[in-house]
Amino acid sequence: MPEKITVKIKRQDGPGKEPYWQTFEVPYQPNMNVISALMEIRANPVTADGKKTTPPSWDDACLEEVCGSCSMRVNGVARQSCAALVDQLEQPIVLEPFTKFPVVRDLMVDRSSMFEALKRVKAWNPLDGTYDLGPGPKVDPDTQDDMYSYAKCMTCGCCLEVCPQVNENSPFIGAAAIGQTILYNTQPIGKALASERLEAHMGPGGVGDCGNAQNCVRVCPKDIPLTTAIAALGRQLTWHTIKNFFLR
Amino acid sequence: MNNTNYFLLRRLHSLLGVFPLGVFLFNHLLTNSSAIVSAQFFEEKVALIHSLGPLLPLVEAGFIFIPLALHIALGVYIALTGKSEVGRNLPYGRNWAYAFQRWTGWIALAFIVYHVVHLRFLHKPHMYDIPFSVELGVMFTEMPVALFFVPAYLIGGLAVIFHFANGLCTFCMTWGITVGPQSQRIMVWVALAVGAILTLLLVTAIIAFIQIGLDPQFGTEEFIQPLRDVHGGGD
Repeated sequence: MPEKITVKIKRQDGPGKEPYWQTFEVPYQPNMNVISALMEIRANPVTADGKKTTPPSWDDACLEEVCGSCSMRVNGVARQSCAALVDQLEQPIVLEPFTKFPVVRDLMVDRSSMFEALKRVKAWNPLDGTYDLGPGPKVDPDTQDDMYSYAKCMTCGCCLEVCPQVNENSPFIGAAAIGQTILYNTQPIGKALASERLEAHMGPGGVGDCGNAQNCVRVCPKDIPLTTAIAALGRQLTWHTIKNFFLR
Repeated sequence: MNNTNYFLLRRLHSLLGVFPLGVFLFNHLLTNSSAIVSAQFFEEKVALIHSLGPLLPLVEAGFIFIPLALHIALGVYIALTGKSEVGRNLPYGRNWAYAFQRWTGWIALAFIVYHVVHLRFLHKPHMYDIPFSVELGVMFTEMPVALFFVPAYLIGGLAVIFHFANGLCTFCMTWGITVGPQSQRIMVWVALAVGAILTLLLVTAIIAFIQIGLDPQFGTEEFIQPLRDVHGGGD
């Protein structure tokens, strides 16, 4: 067992500030994860060469890989830092903020672009009112399974972080919102907005901007069939366009 | 630009790559590889194309030049909006294919522009005087130009073939033909087979023109005149 572990953090004091690197040494504890290492650094923010510094900032909430907020690049891999166990990581552990989102401070990024994307594709069921609407429509178990695989999305941003089509030159909304489009286009109540969702995908940034690199499905911590969603949405758009052409 | 037009342009780019450009690529390599039979046989195939007469420029424009120009314009836009993730801990086949699709696109663009200017526009006025098989025989065997032309046609051709074969896979994803991972994997094998056939045709064509250029009779009046005669004796 090592006595100390080394953690290298890419830090940034605020939006638009120059990033810089700092290395820390943290006393080893069994079953440590990256978050607990960061907590140690926060408790004693002194760099490996003995310089006192500010405590690093990061986001976290659930600590069980279901909220998505602690996502960052751990040794260059986009993942949740709470699920990144120190015993399974190569040293030094290199922590960087996601590169496809604006940095707020240190490892904390602003993922609001993902929530804007969910609004754009209307990723919800159109239900409103205070009265009892009665039981919902029945859904067969196979469809339930399909829907559940997309419902696991926690908007963590890993799929966008590894996407070559998500960058400063491209308005692509990314795979997460595409998965949610398929989820709500499958859901019997959500279906009511299906054609509005398809229209939302036809402009710049929609599913058409996907480059089929398929990194999204490789890194998704929830194993969401994102590339299946992308092709399925492509198929829905193909039929939607043909149908509209002949109906108009 | 309104949403529908943007979507239609993206789909147009995807469609044009397969039809007519992919169909033309296959036909083009098939014609060229026919030179493996003999220079005479190849010139007959060329004459068959030219028998379209005044319709030929229309066919060329409608099925080759206009679709190609649109595919290039849209493709350059697409390439400029992407930023390869190669080198960022993503050692996956499709991640490489994404990058190669763009790299081969740029190589293909440079190669096709050169190729069309050289053999369609600069050589065209001489085609009855110096038949294509003679021009290509010189390009692929005469030193030192062959040291440029043979690798250029091999690399340019392979870039075009990769771009088309991988494009077939992404075409099927984009249009929602292969939706799940298994059908997409099977499509890779189909694309590999298509790529292998086209590569075979490309290599056959290059070997054929080298063979023609190395013919002991090559360049003599007795060699060239029968080839001119295929085109009606150089009218």
